[in-house]
Amino acid sequence: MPDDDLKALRGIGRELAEGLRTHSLDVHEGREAAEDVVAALPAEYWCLGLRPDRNPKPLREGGRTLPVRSCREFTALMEELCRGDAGLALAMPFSSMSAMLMEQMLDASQLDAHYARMSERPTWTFFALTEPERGSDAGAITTTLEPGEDGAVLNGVKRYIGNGARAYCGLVFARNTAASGMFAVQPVLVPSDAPGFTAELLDTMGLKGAGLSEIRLEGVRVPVADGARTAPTGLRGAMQTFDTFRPCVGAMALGAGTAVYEYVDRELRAGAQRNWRDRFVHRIEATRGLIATAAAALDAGRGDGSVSSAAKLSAVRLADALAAAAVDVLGPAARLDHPLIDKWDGDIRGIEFMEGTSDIQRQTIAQGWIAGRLPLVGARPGEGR
Amino acid sequence: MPGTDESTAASPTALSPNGSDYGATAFADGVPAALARLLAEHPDWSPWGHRGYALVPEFAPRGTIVRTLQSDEGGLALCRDEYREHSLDPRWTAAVTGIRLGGAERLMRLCVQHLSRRTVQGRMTLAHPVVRAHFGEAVLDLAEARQCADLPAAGRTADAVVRATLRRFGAAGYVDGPARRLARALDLLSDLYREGGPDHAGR
Ligand SMILES: Cc1cc2nc3c(=O)[nH]c(=O)nc-3n(C[C@H](O)[C@H](O)[C@H](O)COP(=O)(O)OP(=O)(O)OC[C@H]3O[C@@H](n4cnc5c(N)ncnc54)[C@H](O)[C@@H]3O)c2cc1C
Repeated sequence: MPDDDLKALRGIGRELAEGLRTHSLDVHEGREAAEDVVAALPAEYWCLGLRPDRNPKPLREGGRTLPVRSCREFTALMEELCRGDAGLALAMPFSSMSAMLMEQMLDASQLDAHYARMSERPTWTFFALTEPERGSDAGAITTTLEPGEDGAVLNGVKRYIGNGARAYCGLVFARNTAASGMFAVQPVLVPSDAPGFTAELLDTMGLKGAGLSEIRLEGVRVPVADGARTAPTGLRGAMQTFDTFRPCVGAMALGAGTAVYEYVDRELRAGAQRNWRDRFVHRIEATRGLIATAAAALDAGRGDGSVSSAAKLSAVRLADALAAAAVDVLGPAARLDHPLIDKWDGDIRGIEFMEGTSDIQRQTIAQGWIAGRLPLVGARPGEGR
Repeated sequence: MPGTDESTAASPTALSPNGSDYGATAFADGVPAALARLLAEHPDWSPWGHRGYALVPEFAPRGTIVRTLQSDEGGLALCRDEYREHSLDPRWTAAVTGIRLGGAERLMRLCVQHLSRRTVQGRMTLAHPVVRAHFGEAVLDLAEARQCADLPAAGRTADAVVRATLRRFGAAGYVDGPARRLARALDLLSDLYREGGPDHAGR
């Protein structure tokens, strides 16, 4: 996408974000449902991220179409939306990693039905990997997929799954009992109206719009084909998708952190404001540069997990520092006098866990650097910004 | 609060010189119990915090109840009386700093219990060196804070330990449960009883 279009996309995102912001506290405090906020938006916004040739309602600006497909486009839009409200940005159907993977998983007729549904009403999907006892250690999940004569049977529990209770279908990662080794863990397409499927919303500290849920799978039957079609990719394929998605999570953290930055900036008197700016303005730019570098590399097919991790960790660290500093700088009773700051602090703490905790990112960055895949000298700063 | 299987010392050396303070109650029995003890022992101290808010045991509310916070350890009431905007009592604030430090250590204990029940790559998560290092740092920070006469600095240490420790729970600390409830109570205590006047922000 040319830079002008990227700018236009940011402009649209910023405008939408302002609208989302007006619902932030009502959704956070349970007075309004995130789904209703999304449903009241023009269809262009539910259809964000769809393949341009299948998108009946593409975003348009000055007569041209603005796709949201590349990592640069995705990160730019996500940053702007999260500047409004990260929880509601996560309520947008396109923002789940499952939306990306679904296209690879669905066959032609399923894809037709999926797109038809997407253009009629907001339609969510989920990506269920984490279990109550298995988070960072995703390779050790215990949900089973038992192949039988006429299909396969799923059993297990998934936890902390975005969109889980409102999705019409999604991907469940399970251990194929008939396979072994690295391909034993594989994604399976599961409709949420399948007998034995139940999902319940969890009460979270923030990011209410993400709809974090627990999913129970008790003897859920799935056609063998839906599992077998993806068997060659398995968990490794999913990990590659994580690498692609991680800069987007970084963009979410950056957007949420920038919201905090701008809010505090408006509240301070001149002297304190100068200190605040000195402390954070360059860090924000540096993080934006790292995210742009990671996104451009991914779009150019040169993506690397460690670059993606650097982008995410930088943003999460920055956002966390901004949230903690805001509570301090705004003075006593800041959480009660500035409920948005309190809410955003809760949102930011949640973003850290998406696509792996900071400890895991640190290790990925170290591995990349040690192996020479993450050279610090020779990288063009802000490449592709 | 009971230790885990790993705590072996019969009579450990306390790193704190004042182990019998309200922090010890917060550590052993939780924040509501510590505040209840404080109220019972010092009924003449004012529990009003900044901007006329107070966080007190649910059974002893005052002013208007803004909201309640429930936990297995007991309920707390966030109360307000706008005529009490400027009645911060330094004795109460000092005791609350002790409670924040003890509460932070209680959160660490909960975290140790949580991580000792989880595994990563076949090993107990608590045994992972990265995870252990966190506890090492946090223990040292709290030990220094307990020796420290600079109460605002000690309070800031408690805040940082609470923040970093809640993160250690992973998503389990992000959903409703004992860890999140304890951390929320400690965040509010910090907000209401922290040192620093209303003009601190330059507003
Ligand atoms: C807002 C939000 C949205 C989410 N969305 C989804 C979703 O849509 N789908 C989904 O499947 N999951 C989702 N998750 C879950 C997320 O992927 C997990 O929270 C994450 O993988 C961490 O796992 P855990 O929470 O079980 O923490 P744990 O793995 O239990 O980690 C606990 C602590 O141990 C540390 N630790 C663990 N392993 C190591 C290690 N090897 N080295 C060093 N330290 C380690 C961690 O850093 C952490 O501090 C979401 C979570 C949140 C909060």
